[in-house]
Amino acid sequence: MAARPISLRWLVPAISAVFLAAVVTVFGTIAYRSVRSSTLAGAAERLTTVVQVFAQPPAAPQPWIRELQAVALRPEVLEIIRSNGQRVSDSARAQIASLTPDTGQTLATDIRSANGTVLFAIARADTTASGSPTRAIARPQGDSADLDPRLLAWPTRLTQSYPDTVVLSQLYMSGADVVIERGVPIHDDGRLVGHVIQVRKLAPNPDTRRRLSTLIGKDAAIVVGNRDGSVWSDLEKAVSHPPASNEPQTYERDGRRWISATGPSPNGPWTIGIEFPEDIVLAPVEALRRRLFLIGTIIVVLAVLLAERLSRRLTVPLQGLTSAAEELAAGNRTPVVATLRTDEIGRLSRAFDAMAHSIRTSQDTLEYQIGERTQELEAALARLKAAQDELVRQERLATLGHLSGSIAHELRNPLGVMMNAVFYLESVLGDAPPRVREHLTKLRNQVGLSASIITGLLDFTRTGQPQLSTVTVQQLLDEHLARVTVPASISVNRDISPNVPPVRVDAVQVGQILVNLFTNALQAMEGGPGVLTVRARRHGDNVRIEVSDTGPGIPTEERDRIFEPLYTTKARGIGLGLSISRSLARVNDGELTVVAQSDSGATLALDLPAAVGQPAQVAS
Amino acid sequence: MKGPAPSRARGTVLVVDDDRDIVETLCDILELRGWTTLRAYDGQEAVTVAREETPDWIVMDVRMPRLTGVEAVQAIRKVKPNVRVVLMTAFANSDLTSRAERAGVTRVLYKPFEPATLFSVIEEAA
Repeated sequence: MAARPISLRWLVPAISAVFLAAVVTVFGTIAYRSVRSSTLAGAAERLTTVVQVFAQPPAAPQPWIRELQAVALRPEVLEIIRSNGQRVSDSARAQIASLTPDTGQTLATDIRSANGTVLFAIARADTTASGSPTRAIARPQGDSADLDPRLLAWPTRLTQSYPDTVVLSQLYMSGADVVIERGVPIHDDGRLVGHVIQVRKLAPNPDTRRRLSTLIGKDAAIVVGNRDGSVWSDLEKAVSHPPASNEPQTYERDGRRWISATGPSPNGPWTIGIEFPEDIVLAPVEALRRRLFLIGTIIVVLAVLLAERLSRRLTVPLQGLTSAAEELAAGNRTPVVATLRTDEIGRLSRAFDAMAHSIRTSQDTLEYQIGERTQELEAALARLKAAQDELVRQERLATLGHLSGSIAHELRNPLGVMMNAVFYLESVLGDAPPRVREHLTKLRNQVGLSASIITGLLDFTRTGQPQLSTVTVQQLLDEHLARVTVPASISVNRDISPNVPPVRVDAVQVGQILVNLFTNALQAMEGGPGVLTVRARRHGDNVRIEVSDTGPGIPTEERDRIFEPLYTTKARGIGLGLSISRSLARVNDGELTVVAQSDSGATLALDLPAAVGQPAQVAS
Repeated sequence: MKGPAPSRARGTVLVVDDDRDIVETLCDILELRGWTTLRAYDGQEAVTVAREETPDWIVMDVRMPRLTGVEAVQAIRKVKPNVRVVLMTAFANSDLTSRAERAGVTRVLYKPFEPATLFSVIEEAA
């Protein structure tokens, strides 16, 4: 399957498009990646800064510490510890209840012994699905005999009069809530005997929110978790979060990706995380990416259009050249590209036109030369054919002449014997009956006829080298007209021009020709009246002797054939006369032809070379 | 030609030809005309006969075995310088005619010829 070649017109734009698209994609991707990573790095750095800001300890002790310390110092609360929870006065109950307001954040307030045993508690009833008030918190039970293991001492700035530590717990889950415990110690005579503990749900602090929004933006979030990462809360509910790290990290939560930086909380044994959604951070980067894509697309499209225009400027004239070349190849001899352009394409077009022109010129020359050569060849062929025909004719004639000469010779002696015998018989039978003498006469006539036939035949076979002599035409005609017997019904008309020059020929051979022509003419008019006309006149360098009869004439189509050996129209005769006559004429530098004639009768013309400066010999 | 005239003794003719029929018929008609005839059938024989006899005329073929007519004429001329000769030939050509003339031949006749032609030569010359 041959792949159809793609036109340069489309190939160049396509390649440009692919190349540019690749370049734009690579550079766009590189730019996008670097902007993205630097944006993310910047965001992470800001988050880290914010975490550090949040990690600053508060300037003043927090209010809850004073509230709890006020209760812890009450003697009736100490009495609960001392009586191991047996004696709880109304005053103590009221004090503890005041620490458990109905805001929903404080779930319970406990009075615990040093080892974590709850001696008294006021719990805020949650409205659960069952509707019955339940103790909302499930406290992990410690097994230490000395101190509640969940609580950690946490230094804080308190007054000089009171031990400056509070206790705080890790975050833990209580039902669906994330809770912490916070409390202050209870001392009895300088000895730690227990704690006042509040169990609180984590809740967002509007002040914190405001600070965060100011520092980093409203989309920022804050999470709190244990340092070991076991529980994390976004201050409303438990969330998943990777463990704290010194480096900012990215993770997925609630279907969004977040960038998070973590740091220690100043308020307790916790970790805080400041987070920002990645998509918000990356929004300008994405906008940049869209813009880059748009610009890249525009660049590619513009480049394709430009490349197409450029390649059309190249390929359209090339197509013109191609079709012109194809026309030239197909034989159209006048394709012209003709352009006014001056660049390389223009030069190529003009060069093509020049080439086409020179091809036309050389083609014309070639055709003319071929025509000339063809004519020359045809003429040469015609000459060759004529020469060949003449050779064949001569060959046939020579063969026939030889054969007929041999036969004639062989008949000479028998005829001589016959002639003698007839003469003898006629002599001795002078008294014989008339009928016998008639027969003898017939015999003598026929023998005489036979003798004349073979004599004529022998004459014609002698076409050897002519013995040239100069003779007058008058002499020739007189002598040879006398050799033929002209019947009484035929008149002879002699028309000999007075200025006819003598001819230089073999008189014997020309005599044979003339006798043959006279004999033919007379035979053509046999059995009827007629006129034998003999004309002679100068004909260029020749003398032309014309012999005409008033017989039936020669059909046009036979005019050439009558010179062929063995061709005859006569009842008697072997058809050598004219053939041999023409050969004799030619060996005497003459020619024998048929003269075209419209009226009846035939005319043969014998051309003989005129003698130059030689006086005519007197005939012997 | 009315009737022979044998009584008129005209002379002697030697007829030479290798064709015996030619010799026979020519001799017959010459005798009818009153000539005495001698016969020979080739050139050599003609020379012999011419030497032994005294012919007035020799009528001889040209192309013959042993000795051609022209050679025979030349040989006979040596012994009979005055004999007159008529040559007969079937092969007419001017070369032969000129050679015959040089050899002193009276006439060359081309075969076949009317006997009257021969008579006109030898009887008028006589």
